[in-house]
Amino acid sequence: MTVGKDVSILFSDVVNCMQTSNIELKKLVYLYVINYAKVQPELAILAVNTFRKDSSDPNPLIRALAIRTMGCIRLEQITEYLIEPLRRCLKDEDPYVRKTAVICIAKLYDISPKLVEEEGFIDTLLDILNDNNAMVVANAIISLTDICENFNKSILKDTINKNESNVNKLLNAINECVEWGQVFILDALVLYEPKNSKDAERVLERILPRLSHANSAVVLSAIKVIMYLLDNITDEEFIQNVHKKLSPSLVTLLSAEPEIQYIALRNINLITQKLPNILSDKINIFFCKYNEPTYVKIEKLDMIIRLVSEKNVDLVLYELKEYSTEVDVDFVKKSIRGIGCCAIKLPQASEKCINILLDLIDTKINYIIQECIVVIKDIFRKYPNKYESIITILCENIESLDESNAKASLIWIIGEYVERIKNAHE
Amino acid sequence: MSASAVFILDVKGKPLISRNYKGDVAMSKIEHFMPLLVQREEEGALAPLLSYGQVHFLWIKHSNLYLVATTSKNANASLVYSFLYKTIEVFCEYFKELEEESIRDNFVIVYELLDELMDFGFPQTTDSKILQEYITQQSNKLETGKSRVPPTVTNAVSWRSEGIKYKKNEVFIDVIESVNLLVNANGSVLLSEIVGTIKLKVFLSGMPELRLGLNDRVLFELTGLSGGKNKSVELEDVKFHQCVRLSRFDNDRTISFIPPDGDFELMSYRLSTQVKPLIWIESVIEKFSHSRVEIMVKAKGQFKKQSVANSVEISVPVPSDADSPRFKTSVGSAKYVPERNVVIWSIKSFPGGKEYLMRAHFGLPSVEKEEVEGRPPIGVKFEIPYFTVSGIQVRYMKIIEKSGYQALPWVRYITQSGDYQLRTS
Repeated sequence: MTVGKDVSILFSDVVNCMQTSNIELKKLVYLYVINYAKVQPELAILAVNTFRKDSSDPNPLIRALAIRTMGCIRLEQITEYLIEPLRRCLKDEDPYVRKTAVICIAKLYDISPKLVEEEGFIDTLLDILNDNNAMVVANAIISLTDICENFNKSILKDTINKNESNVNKLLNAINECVEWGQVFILDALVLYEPKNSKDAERVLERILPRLSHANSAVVLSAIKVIMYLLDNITDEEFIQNVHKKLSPSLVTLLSAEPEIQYIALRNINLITQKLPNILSDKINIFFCKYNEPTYVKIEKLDMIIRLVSEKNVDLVLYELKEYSTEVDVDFVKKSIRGIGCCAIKLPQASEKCINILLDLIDTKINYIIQECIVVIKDIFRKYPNKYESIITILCENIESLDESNAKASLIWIIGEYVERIKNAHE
Repeated sequence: MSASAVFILDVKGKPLISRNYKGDVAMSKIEHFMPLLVQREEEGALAPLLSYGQVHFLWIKHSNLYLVATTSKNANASLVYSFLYKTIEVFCEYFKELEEESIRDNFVIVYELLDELMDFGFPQTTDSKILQEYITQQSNKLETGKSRVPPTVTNAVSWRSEGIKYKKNEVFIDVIESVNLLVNANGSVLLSEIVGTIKLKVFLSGMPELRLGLNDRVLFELTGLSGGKNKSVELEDVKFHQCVRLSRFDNDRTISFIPPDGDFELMSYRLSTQVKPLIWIESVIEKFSHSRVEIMVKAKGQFKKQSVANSVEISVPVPSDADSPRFKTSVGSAKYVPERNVVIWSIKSFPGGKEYLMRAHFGLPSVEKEEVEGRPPIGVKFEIPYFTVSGIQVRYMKIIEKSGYQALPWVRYITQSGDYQLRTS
C-alpha cells in the first residue's frame, strides 16, 4: 500500500485480523481500513463492530486509537455508529482518550454537520472548555476553530465574548499546555473583543510572557494577538513598554531556520508599516549574509529600503553597492533599484546615489548597466535638471542596451534633455 | 487552520510515505510539487511556499528527503514549518540518521509516529522522549496491558515522566556562547552579536524543582544588588524551553522549572555587544589576472592572554580556477580544499593577544573564466573554553525534591564561533 500498489482486494482478510491483541498490528490494520474504506464501503461496515468493542477496551491507547480511526473513515454509513462510542469517550476518565474524542467531533462535523448539531455535540464541546486538563481544552479550541472557520459560524467568537471567565479559562490553559496548544489558543484569542482599554491591558499582560517561548510559532501568534490588542489600548506609556518588549523578539526570530526567517520577515514588513518606529535603529540586522537563500535576501532588502533614513543612509548605500556586485542577477537588480529608492526617498543622499550608480556603470557588466539606466531615469523624473552632466556617460553606453525597459528609459532621457545633447537625433 | 496532508518525498519528488489527515486536498496533487520546484529554481524564484492552483505546498529539505505539507486553506505557516522541523528532530532521535533509507527501513514506526504527532492536521505530541515511552522499535516486546499511554502526555508537566531514579543525582550545565560577526570589506563591524545557549544534562530522580540564578542585570536591579562589585549581564532577549514558568520570569526574573530527563536546551539568549571581535582578520588578496593570486592573512587574537582558542580554522576563499598552491605559515598548517574553493588555515591552539601570519600563492590559468564569480567572505571557526564574552555567570542552581536528596551541579563555559564572516575587497 505504501509503495502505491492497490491491495484493496485483501480487505476482508485484513479486517479479520483486526481482532488481534498486538497493538502494532492493530494500528497497521486501522491504517489500511482508513485508506480503503471508500473503495469497499460494504466491507467497511464489518469493521465497525471491532471499532465499537475497542472503544471500550481497558487500555486507553486502544480506546483512543479506535475513536481516532473511526473519525478518519469518511463514510456516511459508519458515522451513525460512531455517535455512541464518541459520546462515551468524551466523558472518559483518561485525558488522552478525551482529547482524541474532542478532535473527532471536528472530523464528524466535516462529514455530516447536521448529525453533529442534532446530537448536541456542539454544546458538549462548549462544556469541555471547562475541563481541568489543558490539552483537552486546547483540542476543544481546535475543534471549535475548525468548525467555525470552515462553516462560517460564530460560535467560538460568541463564547469567548460571553463572559470574562471564559477568557480567563483560556489564559490559564495557555500556561499549562503543550506548545502547539498554546498556538491554537492564542490564535483563538484574536476573536476576543475587549470591552475597554483596561480589559485589553489585562489580557495583554497575561500574554506577554509567551514572547520568551523557544517555539517561533508561539512567538508569532503571541505577537499577532498583542498587535490586535494594542489597537484597543489608550495608555501611551503602556504602549511604549509593549513596543520595547516586541522588538527584541522580532530580532531573535531572524536567527531561526530560513523558512521561519522568511515568514518572520514578511510579517515584520507588515508590522513596520503599522508601527514604523519599532525597528528604526536596528537596520543592521537586515544586512544580508553571503550564504543565505535568495528568498530571504530579497525580503531583507525590502526591509532595508523601508528603514533607510538620513542617519544610516551612508551605511546602507555602502551595503547596497556590495550587494550589486554579487552573482545572483535578480538580487543585484533589486539592490540597484534599492539605491534608486534611497535617492528618491532622501534628497540629500541623491548625489551619493548618482555617484554609486556611475561607479556601477563603469563595471561594464551588461545587466548592471541596464538596471542603472532605468533607475537613473526615475531619479531624473524626481529631480529634473539636476544631474545633466552624467547624460554623456549614459549615452556612451547606448550600445550595450538590449532590454526594452532600459532602451525606453534612455530614449525618455534623451527626449527630455534634447537641448543639452548635441547629436540627439542620432 | 493547519495542514491537510504530510508527505515525505525522496530527492526526485516521489512520495515515500504520506498521511492524509483532512481529506480535503487530493493526494495526487503532490505530483505537481517537483516540477513546480524545479521550474522555480530555474527561474531563480524559489520560495518555501509554492502554490499550484488552490493547493499550497509548504516544504523543507533534510539531507535527501523533502517534507511537504499540503493545504488549501489559510493555514498558520509558522506552525506548519515549526512542526515539520520538530518532526525531523523526532525522526532523528528515533533513527539516528534521517535519510531515504531510514524511512524505507522503518515505515511501520513512521506510520505510528505520523499518527501520534498530528491529528486532523493539528500537531499534538511532539516530545520525542515521551513518544519513545510508548512507540518503540522493539515491536516483539509489546504486549497488551504493558503498553500504556504515559500519563505524561496529557499532564501539565508533559515533558517528564514520574518515577525516574538515579543512584547519583547530578546536573551538568553547559553555557555555550556563539559569536556572530559580520565585517565589511573596509574593516568596519556591521553586525556583532552573541547568541548564548544554556544546555543541561539532568540525571535527577523524582520530580525535582530547579531554580537557576544568573547575574542578570534586570534581576539585580529588581533585588537591589546592582552597582559596585556585582558584574551583571544585560540579556536583550531570552527564550526558554517550554518547561520554564514564563509568567514567573516575567514577574520577577526567576528561572524556575521542572526539567525533562537527560539533555535539553534550557534557554537561549541574545545580546548585541560592542566588544572587540575575538579574532580579527586582516587580509590582502592581490589578484593578477592570467598569472597569479597572492593572499596574505593576518590573524590577531583580541581576547585576554590567559585564554587559549582551540581548533581555529580560518577559511579564505580562492578563485575556482586557481592551481599550484604554495603556503607559508608562522604557526599551524594550511590546506587547499579545491571542492570548496578555500584555503583552510588550521591552528590547534591560539593564545590571546598573539598575532599570526599566513601567506599563500596560487597560479591562475592564462585563459580567464567567462562567468563572474561571487566573493565569499573569510570564515573563522574557533572554540575558547572556560570563557564567555558576555561575562554571564551561573550564580547558583537550587535543586528541591521532596525526598530531599543532595545533588551536585557542574558548570562549564565555552565560547565558540557562530556565523563569523569578514568580507574581502
